[in-house]
Amino acid sequence: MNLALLFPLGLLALAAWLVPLLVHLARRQQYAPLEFAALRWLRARVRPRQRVRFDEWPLLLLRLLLLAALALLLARPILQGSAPDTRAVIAVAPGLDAAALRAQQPEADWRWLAPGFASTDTPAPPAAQPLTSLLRELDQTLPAGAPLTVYVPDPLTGADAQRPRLSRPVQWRPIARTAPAAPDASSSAPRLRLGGAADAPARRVLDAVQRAWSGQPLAAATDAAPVQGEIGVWVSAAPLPPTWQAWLEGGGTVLVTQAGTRAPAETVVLRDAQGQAAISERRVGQGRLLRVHGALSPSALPLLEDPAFPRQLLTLARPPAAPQWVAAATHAPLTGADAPAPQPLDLAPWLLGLIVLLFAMERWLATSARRGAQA
Amino acid sequence: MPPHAPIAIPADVRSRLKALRLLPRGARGAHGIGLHASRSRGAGLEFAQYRAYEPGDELRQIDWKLYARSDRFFVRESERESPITTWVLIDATASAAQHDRARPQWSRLDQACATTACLVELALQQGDRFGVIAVNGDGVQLVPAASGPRQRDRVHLLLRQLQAQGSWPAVDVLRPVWERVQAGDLLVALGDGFDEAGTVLLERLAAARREVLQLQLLSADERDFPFTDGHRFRDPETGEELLGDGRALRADYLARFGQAQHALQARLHASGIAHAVGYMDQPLDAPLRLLFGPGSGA
Repeated sequence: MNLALLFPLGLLALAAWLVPLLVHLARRQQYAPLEFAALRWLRARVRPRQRVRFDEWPLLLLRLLLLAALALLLARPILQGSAPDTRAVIAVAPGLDAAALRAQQPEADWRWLAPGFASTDTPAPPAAQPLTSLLRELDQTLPAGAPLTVYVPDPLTGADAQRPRLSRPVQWRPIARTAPAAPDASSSAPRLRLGGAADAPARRVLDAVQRAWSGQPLAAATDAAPVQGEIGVWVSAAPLPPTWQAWLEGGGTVLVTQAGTRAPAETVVLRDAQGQAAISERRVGQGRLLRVHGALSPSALPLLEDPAFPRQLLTLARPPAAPQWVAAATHAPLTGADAPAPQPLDLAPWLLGLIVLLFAMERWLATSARRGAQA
Repeated sequence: MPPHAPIAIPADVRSRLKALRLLPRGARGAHGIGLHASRSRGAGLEFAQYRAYEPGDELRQIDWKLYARSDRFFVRESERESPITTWVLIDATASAAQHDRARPQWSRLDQACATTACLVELALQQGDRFGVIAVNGDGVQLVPAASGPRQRDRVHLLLRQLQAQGSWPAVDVLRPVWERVQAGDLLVALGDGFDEAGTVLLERLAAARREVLQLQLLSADERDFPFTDGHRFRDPETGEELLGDGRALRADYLARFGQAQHALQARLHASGIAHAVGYMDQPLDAPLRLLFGPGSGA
């Protein structure tokens, strides 16, 4: 249990002590004139004062205390090593029925596994939460030695790329729930929207790609901008029309054919068997511009003859979604993380209360009628 | 308090005043009749009234012819005709505005006026003539000597208007004092006694056969010097200032002030002036008892 200051330079504010000291000193210097008829029997002899004297000791002391408390507040004091609260903590992922679970062990500290870790007495937070991240945070927030029990839904959402590694063993309690059905991938295959002046070989290639994706033939070329669910294909030497450019910057994906060297912002995303760059990607606004190096014909780009090309292009045009569900039993936290740093006790609220109290006392003393009578 | 109301004398002081007598030493036997008190009822004075004999009356005062006619004892009383005139000389210079820190609304001048009111009551009680002379920086203000309740009102009116200001005036300004105060008159000087010129005036009046008494009025602060902090002491008459620490000055001041008081007393005693000191935190009649009480020697 020791006191530490997060910002010791704040104690420089103690220089403000000079002000009340000077105020209480200065009053001594200006003597009130006092009528005294028997002056002729006074002998002028102002002895040097042996020690510095102050007026109104209690008020001065109170003012110094008040300034000291303010300076200490600026220095941000914390109290380290206070006794940790090692009660058992039970965290419940939002979406589970906390009231029913709580009936099993009502005396424990039940909290939502949500930002702030509020008690389950409060209304349930939204169900979509980054549970693994929150679990790490909760583990570091709780003092070392506090047993932790976690109720999570099974399958689990909100996990991140690796199993959480915590500082303490956790009682992992998956609660089964039905997972929503995965959406059918084939029904939502994108359609190609052909624009510009495409020659016959390019149309053939694109028609083949479209058929490979959805079994539908390629729609006729049009200059209208693509819509949601479509991938624009601009086969022309001319630049993109403004409507296409706007759609691209608004989040669309456009495939263009253009030979030439790589721009600095581009990354090559598809290479052929010889290692030559075939397709590169560049972000434009919020959308993506896929550039085919060369004309869309098997003679110019042998990669087009590869049977895997439509799938590769589909992956490029619409990357598969990251996995969202994980079986809770396989995602139980590991141990071995660093023990949480002991949480220091912030003394600012107590200090603020003390300051308010001191200020009230100072005002009371400074404005009391008794003092006015003396002055 | 309205400015023309009579100066109030506390009831206890008023009751104690009855035991006091304004008795001049020098006037005793001046006209060969006897005590001041006996003069008012002597034979041969102007007839006033008869009254019934009371035990203690002198036998020679009984009117024997009337006894022969009525077979009862009657005492012949005369119109009272006091030869004594009492003057009160008030020092109303700026130093009379001195007050105690413990009682800031009560100045030395207030004390002097209240004491004057007591003396006026005494004179009225005895039927003496009385007058008041106030001296301040403006010169001399006076109420000519007379007797009776209306004279008291005139005195109170003057006291009400009196302001403490200025310093002791020059000798020629004080000529009315010499014109009014006759030889043999009783003159009670009220003031702080700090003015050298005032003391000289009293000495000269005493030397000229005036019956002079000095009642020195001092504040408790002048007696005790209770100041403990630094102060800028200021003389109200000269405006001179002195910066000093109360504690450091106290012992020296008390010694020198006591010495000065002793010197003043010795001087007044040498001139035959009765002297008493009244402090502003004491009852009004305490110094009066010293001067005029039974066994005072006055």
